[in-house]
Amino acid sequence: MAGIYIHIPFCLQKCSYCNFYSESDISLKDKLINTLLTEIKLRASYLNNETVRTIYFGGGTPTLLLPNEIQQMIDAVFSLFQLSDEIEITLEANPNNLTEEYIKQLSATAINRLSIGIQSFYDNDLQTLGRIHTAKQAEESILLAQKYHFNNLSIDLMYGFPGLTLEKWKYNLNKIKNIQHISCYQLTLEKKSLLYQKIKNGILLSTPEDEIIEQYHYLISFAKKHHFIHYETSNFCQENFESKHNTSYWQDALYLGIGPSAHSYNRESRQWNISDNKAYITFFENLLSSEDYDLKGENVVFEKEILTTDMRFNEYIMTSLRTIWGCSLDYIQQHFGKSYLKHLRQQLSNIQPDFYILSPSSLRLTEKGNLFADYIAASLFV
Amino acid sequence: MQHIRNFCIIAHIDHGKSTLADRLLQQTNTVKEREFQNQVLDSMDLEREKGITIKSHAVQMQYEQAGKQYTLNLIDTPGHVDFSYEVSRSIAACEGALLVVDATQGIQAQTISNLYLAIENDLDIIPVLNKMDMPSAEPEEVSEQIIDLLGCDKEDILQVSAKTGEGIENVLNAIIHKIRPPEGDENAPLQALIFDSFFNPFRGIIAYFRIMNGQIHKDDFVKFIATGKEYHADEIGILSLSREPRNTLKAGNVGYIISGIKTAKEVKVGDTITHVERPSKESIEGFKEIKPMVFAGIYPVDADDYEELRSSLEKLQLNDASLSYEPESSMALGFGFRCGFLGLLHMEIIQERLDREFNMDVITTVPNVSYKIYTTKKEVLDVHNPSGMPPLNLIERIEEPYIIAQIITKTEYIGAIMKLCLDKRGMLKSQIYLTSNRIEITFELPLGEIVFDFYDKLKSCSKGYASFDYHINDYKPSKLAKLDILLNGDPVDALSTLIHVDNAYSFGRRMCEKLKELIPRQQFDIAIQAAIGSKIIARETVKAVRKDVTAKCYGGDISRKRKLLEKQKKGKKRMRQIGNVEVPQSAFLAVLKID
Ligand SMILES: Nc1nc2c(ncn2[C@@H]2O[C@H](COP(=O)(O)OP(=O)(O)O)[C@@H](O)[C@H]2O)c(=O)[nH]1
Ligand SMILES: C[S@@+](CC[C@H](N)C(=O)[O-])C[C@H]1O[C@@H](n2cnc3c(N)ncnc32)[C@H](O)[C@@H]1O
Ligand code: SF4
Repeated sequence: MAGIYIHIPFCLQKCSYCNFYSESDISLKDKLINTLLTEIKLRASYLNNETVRTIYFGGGTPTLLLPNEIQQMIDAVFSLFQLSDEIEITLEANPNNLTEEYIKQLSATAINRLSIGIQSFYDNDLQTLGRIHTAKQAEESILLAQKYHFNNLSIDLMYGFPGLTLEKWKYNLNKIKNIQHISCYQLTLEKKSLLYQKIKNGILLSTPEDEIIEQYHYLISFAKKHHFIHYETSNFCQENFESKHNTSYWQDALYLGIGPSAHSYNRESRQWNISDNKAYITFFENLLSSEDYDLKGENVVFEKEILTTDMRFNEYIMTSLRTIWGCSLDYIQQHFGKSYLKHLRQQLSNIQPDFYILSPSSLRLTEKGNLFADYIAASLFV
Repeated sequence: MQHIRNFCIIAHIDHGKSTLADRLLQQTNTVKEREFQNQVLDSMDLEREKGITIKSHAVQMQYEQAGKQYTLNLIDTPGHVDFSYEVSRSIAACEGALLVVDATQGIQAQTISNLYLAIENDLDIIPVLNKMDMPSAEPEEVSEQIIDLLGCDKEDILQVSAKTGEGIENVLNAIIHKIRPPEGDENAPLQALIFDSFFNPFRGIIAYFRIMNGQIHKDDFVKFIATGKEYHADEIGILSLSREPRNTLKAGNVGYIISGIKTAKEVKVGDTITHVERPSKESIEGFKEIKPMVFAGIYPVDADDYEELRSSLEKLQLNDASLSYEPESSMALGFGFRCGFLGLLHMEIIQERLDREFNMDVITTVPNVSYKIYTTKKEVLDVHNPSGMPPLNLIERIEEPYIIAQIITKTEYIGAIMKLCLDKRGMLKSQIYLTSNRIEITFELPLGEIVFDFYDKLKSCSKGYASFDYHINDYKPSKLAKLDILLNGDPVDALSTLIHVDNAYSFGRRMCEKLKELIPRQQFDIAIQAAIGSKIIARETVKAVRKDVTAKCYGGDISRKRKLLEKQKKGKKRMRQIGNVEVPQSAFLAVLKID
């Protein structure tokens, strides 16, 4: 089972917290779409004929593309890969782009899951976060998506950012209690972001750790109350509405990343395309028109990291411990070997017993342990 | 003897001692242009970087002038108070000194105390202004300073550039005409002053000496007066760039002896060599037994490296007799060694040599001086390790070593320096104005107070313009306490210190604060306490981590985050487990730097 990620590297306005690769100049949009199509074709063999179970359009802002442009890429994938019958095709959507007309056209494409980046239902928060949309657009986009029968809907919210009080957080969450899937991200202060600068310069006040924990705890109890399954650190869903695509990242599945800055993984190595639209486009143009370029050659547009067994083990621990399923001891034994299992058991002795549950088949973190997932993962690394 | 000149160079760091020495070697054809690697004299890397000639060397040059052949012996001197005894012996082996001053910088305070040492020993001083090629040279101004200090004539001051070679002839000229030839009786019983020694892996210890009286021959039977040991002179010779064996060396000359000595301990700087038969009745005056004054534990970072550390220390001791060590163990740090040093710089040098020459990763504990403890059972114990302190009820009194410290500085810094010395429990002994704006202050100070951060503080409160020299005086009663540090109730022996009661409270508090900064948050709260006996005098808490998890972990984040966590894990591996607390190595080191 494998997944395909397609990165759309444009945002009309950069959000203050964001460190993902995107450009505000969209004049290269058409060329880029062509290049994405080229890359899909040229790298069709990357997944070793494994069945593609998910396609994910992420960004950047995929909704800057027209629905038929998106469909074009889906078609390309359909024509080149083995597909699962229950393929999940997600589109990350920004509320301001989700006009009725747009959603209507989307509903005619093969997209069957929509992930809307709401972040907050307060205009002043949206300003702090540098979002391009308004609270009103946020609410309307959800209603429209539902109206056009997107019934596998996901909402992104953020917490722990300057200005978000517990009261506002409660309000935000209660707005989406009927949604199938929610991702609630605690703010990660990226060093390169505007928000970081503002906090560093004292223009904005960072939220105290205690308040963030309070917001997290509220999130947990909210999820319980409304029967969400807390299946990954930041992800919650109604039964059977897990994001298949993201889950595969945490379960050591293969994925092919298309587009600038996209990452691919085939268990032997991870590689990532250059974060530069122009260079990305030029590379594939040259590749098509000359013989000098080679996907395997020296002047490629991606960087690559060969993964040792130790590295893969570490990644597996790091990602799987974040999920409700934890890490599978059978999987470790099969894919890494007995010695890794032994190592894991030994290292566990340094972890507080109420942080984890060790069953014969898996290691999982408790609710308390969840708060220390990184610390625990690092302790269990080889 | 009339044609021998023995001299040393007195200079502040970077004023051009090494460059000038190179030029002299070149000019006298001691080194051929081709063999020339810059700065021949400083052969240890470490010295070059620190700018301090740690171990004295000597080199002989031949120079012809007006049809006469002269033998010039340049004896190099180390430049730090930790080695002041060695400096004094080098100076005692000379009749003259070049006082080299950077014409762009002027005379620096640190030079002054060595200069006085030279004047006390009656050396003929040749003042030299160096770096005259530089546009920023201020010969007038700097000459004034030198005249102030030496009372010489302006014409006596040579102006040179060691870089371009300008004026080097004049230096050689002055060496020949201004420095008097050595005196001594070639026919008297042998008296040779050992001013340095060196370890050679193939030949054992090579001692460098200056013959004051008499002569020495190959195959003589000689005796070292202070140690009383006797040896066969397997080889004697002079030190050109390399050793050149000779059959005879006579009074006035400088040379080396190889006599099958295996360890540096047997050769004591300042000792006198004489013959077994027809020995000299007296030794050359000024010999002192140098004893380590500062002690600290040295532990391998990786416990498996204990044996390697032992063999590294063994090798270091072969050419550094002033280093001592004995095994000790610590609950926190495992097995290691208690090492004795001449001073803090010496300690730093040993640490660095362990690192560079032996690739050893070590942790050094808080240094202590050696205390005398008089017990109720009328015993006297030398204690230089907190764990060696007997229980309080068995102690009658404690004495600590005091030094007499001479500080020469400009008058404008008196206030700051006085305050520093008084803060360090010093007692003012005298103040003498050397010139209208230069003063010599003498203090009696507990040695224990200067092993921490005295130099750094002195330097900063005098903008570097203070020379410091000291000698051990005697032991005096002290109110000493053993200060313990506890982590979650467990004492950490490696962090215990012996400290004067008056300082214990503030030191304990600062220690707790520092540790709070350095110990990372862990799964539970960590109490850091400072205690004297059972009394807690300071406390800090490292709060448990409340939360440690990043929001997202998708495709691109995975590599980045794995690397981050791998780094964390690596850091953890290098931590010491004390009870249930993980303490980073840096905590053991940083307490040395407590302000
Ligand atoms: N311009 C100039 N530079 C010099 C002269 N003598 C030494 N130097 C430079 O000053 C620095 C320190 O010299 P060095 O001989 O190592 O000083 P030491 O620490 O006293 O041995 C080096 O960078 C030398 O190249 C000189 O006469 N003129
Ligand atoms: C990379 S964005 C792409 C989707 C779309 N451009 C949007 O902003 O709605 C996916 C989600 O990641 C989250 N995110 C991005 N940067 C973050 C940060 N620094 N800290 C926490 N969450 C972040 C936001 O919630 C965002 O909705
Ligand atoms: S959060 Fe989304 S819209 Fe905002 S800059 Fe990042 S990718 Fe673009």
